[in-house]
Amino acid sequence: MGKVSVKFYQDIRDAAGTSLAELEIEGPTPLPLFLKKLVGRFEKLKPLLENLQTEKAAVIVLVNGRAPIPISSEVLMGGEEISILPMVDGG
Amino acid sequence: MQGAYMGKILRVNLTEKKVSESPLPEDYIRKYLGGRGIAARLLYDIMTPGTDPLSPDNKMVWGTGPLTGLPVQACSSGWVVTTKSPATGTYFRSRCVSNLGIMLKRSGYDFLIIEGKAESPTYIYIENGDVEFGDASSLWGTTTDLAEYIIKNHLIRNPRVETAVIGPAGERLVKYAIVQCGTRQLGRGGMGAIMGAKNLKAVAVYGDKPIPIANEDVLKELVKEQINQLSAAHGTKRMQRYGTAAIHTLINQIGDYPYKNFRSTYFPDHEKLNGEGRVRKTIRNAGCPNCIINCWKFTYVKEGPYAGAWVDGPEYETFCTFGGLLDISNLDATIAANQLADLYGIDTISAGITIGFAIEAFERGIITTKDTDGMVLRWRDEEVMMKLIKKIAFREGFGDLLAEGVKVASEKIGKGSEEFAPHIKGLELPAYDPRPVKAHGLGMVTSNIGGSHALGYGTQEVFGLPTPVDRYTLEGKGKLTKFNQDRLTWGECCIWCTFPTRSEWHKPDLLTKIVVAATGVDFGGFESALKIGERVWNVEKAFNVREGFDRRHDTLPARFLKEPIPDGPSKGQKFELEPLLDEYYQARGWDVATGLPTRGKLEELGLKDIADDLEKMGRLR
Repeated sequence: MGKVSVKFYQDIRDAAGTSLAELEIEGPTPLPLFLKKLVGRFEKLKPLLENLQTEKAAVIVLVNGRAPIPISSEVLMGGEEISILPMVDGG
Repeated sequence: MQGAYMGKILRVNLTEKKVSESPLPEDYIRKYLGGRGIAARLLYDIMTPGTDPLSPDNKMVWGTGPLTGLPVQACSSGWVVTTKSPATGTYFRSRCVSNLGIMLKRSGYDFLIIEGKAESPTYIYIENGDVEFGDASSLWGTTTDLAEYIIKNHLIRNPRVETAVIGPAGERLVKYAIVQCGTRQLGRGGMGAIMGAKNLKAVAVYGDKPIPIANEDVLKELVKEQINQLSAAHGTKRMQRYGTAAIHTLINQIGDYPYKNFRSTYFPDHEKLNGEGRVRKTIRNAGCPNCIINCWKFTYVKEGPYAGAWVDGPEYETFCTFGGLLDISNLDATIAANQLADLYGIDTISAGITIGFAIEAFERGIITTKDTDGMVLRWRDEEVMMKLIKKIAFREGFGDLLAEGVKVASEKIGKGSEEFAPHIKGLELPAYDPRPVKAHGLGMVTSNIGGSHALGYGTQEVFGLPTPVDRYTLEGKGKLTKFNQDRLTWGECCIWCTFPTRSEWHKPDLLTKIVVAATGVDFGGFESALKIGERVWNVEKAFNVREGFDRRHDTLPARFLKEPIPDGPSKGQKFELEPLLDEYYQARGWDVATGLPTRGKLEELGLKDIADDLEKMGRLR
């Protein structure tokens, strides 16, 4: 058992309707499974969380500040901070 | 039919007040394409090694790309200047997106070479092939906005003229003086100081000649597809809303932020100062002609101590350098500081970095109020930032030292301050810490212009585009950096906007077809494009090698090599310089021990004459 916090930024926050969420996990949880659980709670995130890490990706998902590559390689143990940010360029 | 080029180079000698024209060499088009490529090669050809950048002998090559001024997305107002920088002593390229490039082309020229030094303050006016030298004595000392207004409306009396003007900082040879072009800039590297040293207050251009297009119907169809691709890209939508500041939060969340002079890479107050804040201050979205992205954001402060301040920006870099880098989280102050820098004509990146360095030196007791004209330098102090911007621009008191940039300032201050003076080859670092982004950092370290992010941006590490790459791993980063540099170099030859091109919101194979349709020249596909980029990169590198640069100069201050990042998402990261450089030089086909080019590589790229030059100097391996 553990908690994972999720921070939403910019238009992702608008879609989620909140800037922060905390979800419980039952032991080690692959990141894709966790994101499905997240979509279950925030339905409007579904289209945004499709096609991750492809050229069609709408968002960037960070776990403790780092993008796991591939997404499926990350297993959450509890205590992590996930950031979901819009796919951008600039600077 | 060949299109997209006007076929002529204009050369202006300020000393002799002489003007000449020459044809654009056909073989240069094939080998270097245009824009940065031809401008780099022309500069290599006409410059003598060892030239003082602030002497009359330094040259500026102002260059347009074949796509400048055409009805194509994400390119039409792009143009460049190549020269030797007073900040770095290296080759330099500065890029701008004002309409001056379009006017230069419509005036009949692809390139403009400026050399010599005027006897007294002067402006140059180019109109459809005619060149005038105007007296700028009354404008000397004025801010950039006033100079532009008077030139357009009183001296030339044509408000459609496009200008490039310097402010008080350029006149005083501030090493990071910029050239203000409408509301955009020729930034970095001291372009304004070079004009100041030449007594050149402004360049003004007007032209209304048509620009030929080789295959107009084909081009129209390709641009329709380009619009489809750009419209579908998520990045386009975010940039339409937030501009370049869209990335402010991301850079902080990955722990790459230059907080307090790079002492940390996480800015705790970042949410007070981000792209969303700018949206609330934005009164007008704008952009280059023919571009749907519209990334320019005009912001205005309506109330409070900075009421009345406005700027076209701030861009991401300025959000950091006049913001979190100094621990300032008041966007109004950042807007006001940005406006001051534009009016006085100094670079917001270099100015902010230099101020941050001074604050840390003060905090450590290395400098005191005796050095700073009595000022107490503190983080989070907006007044200090505003005062120092003015002191730097006018070289007043302590500002005179800071006007030299962090490299020279730290060498003069000494006492170990060189270790935390953020620069590469004398160009202040941009708003990214190299330590946690290995390819992105390597791109800055090996950049031909010094500490710039713009020549080899590691989009794969930072944005995960076009394909994600882990930012901490070392293996493969040399090869990746070479690819990023070659791709962006080709882009600046054409001249594509950097953002959608590097992240591939519009696809490379489409872009190469557009260039062929516009020019009528079969440059080939993306592989050929990368080869052009590589060739140009090697010309720029050869310029620097001729000036004495080699592996010893591809480095970072001690902070980035020895101090692990103390906290935040990238805690523990350092920059692993040597293995990264080894792999990079191998990927480039250069000598690993010295970082010098090899004859084999230069000849493979069709640069035998340059190989011969370097060999004569003992600078070839």
